[in-house]
Amino acid sequence: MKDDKGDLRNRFNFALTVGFLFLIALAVLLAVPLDLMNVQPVVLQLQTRIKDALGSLTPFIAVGALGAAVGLAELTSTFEDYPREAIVTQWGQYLIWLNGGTAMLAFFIIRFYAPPETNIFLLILMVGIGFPTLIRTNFTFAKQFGGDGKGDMGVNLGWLYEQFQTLCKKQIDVELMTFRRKQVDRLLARYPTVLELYQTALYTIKARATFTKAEEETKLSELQQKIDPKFPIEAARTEIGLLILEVGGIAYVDLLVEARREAPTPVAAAVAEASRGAAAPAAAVTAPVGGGLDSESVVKKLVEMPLDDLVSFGVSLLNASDDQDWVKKAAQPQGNITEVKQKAPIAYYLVSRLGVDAIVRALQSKNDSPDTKS
Amino acid sequence: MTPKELKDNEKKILAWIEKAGAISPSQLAAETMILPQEMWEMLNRLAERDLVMLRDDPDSVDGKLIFAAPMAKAAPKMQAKPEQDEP
Repeated sequence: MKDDKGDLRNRFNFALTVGFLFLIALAVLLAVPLDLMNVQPVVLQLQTRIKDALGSLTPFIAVGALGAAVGLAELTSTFEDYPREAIVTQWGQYLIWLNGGTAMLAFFIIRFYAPPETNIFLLILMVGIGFPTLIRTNFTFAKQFGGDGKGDMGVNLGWLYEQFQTLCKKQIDVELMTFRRKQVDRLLARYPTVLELYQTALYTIKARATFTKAEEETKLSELQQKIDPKFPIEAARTEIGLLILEVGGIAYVDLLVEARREAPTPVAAAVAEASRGAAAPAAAVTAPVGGGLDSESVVKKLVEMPLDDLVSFGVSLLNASDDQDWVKKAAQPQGNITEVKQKAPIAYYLVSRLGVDAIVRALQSKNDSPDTKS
Repeated sequence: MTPKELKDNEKKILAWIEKAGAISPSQLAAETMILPQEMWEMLNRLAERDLVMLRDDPDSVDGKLIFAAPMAKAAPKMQAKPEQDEP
């Protein structure tokens, strides 16, 4: 099956893995005492040169890392809902590299003009912290009394960086929007009905431990507005999907998608269990229960059967006479409702009374029986 | 007709809908053991009185989703909360 996860996380993992492997290889090469071994002089020379290069590059790496850390902090604080994804977007990377690169360039220039006896550690700290501060600074020479700042006289050294930051923010936002849409589409593909999405969103909101009562109420009210009939069906589904992504996060969407793709994970089972409880009693028959088949799919399978077959199938499985009577009464010819509207309640009734697993097994044995095959 | 004139079954399903948030009519019929014909008639009556709202849900089994309308909050509630029957 094609991996339909977002590209952003794949890019992140790949870069991390390659970087990690490179560092391990470098560390091994530097740590091994090659001069005591019988190795080619070229290898020994390579080790020596790498050690020398690292010695002179270390201050630059340190300054670059400090500058990049500032860029990283700006990104994570701006996109606090999707920090990891924001970092690995193209423009997120540009911002980090620009901060790191300009800090290294500044260090190169300052070191060139600084007296040779200057303490290198102090210089690294001065440039690594001072330069990012400088390029974000607005120097005010004269300030108007009680003014709004427009009449002040000064030099805004941060103007250029502000422009670049605005551009980055816009581009990252666009890239994240595409990413969010992909995640919602994955969710909608596995949860096609408004009802399933609604119940999932309801659980997600109630399960958030950090929500205050007021926040929970606001989100529940938002959810209720999204199922209003004035919303077209696709808009309602997308909006609820976005709400689930926003409240639950990307890892949670992954969990939900996987729960529908394979046998349920313990957490997905916990979601199913919780949705049976006080939060959403009606979710009992829609929660994913077993064998990769969710109850909604089982209900749909049952509804595909002719009404008479569904009744005899249900009666044969139900033990209590009250249950059997209800199924028979529900199947009796009724005025102006369609057959599907008669079969669907019977199917839901069977699933709620017998459980998904029992019905799937019964359906399998029914299909395997010689009568059905002939 | 005012909400005070609700029948017991209507109060019962309103309580269910409010507790569930939203539910499919067929699922509601199964949970409350109300026969399908009676359930649809009752839901249509409640929708006409703006106590519940029905919306399309084409991918679901019966193609509809039902939830409480804001006015339903004014309706008197059942004293006993709905309980799920044991299998």
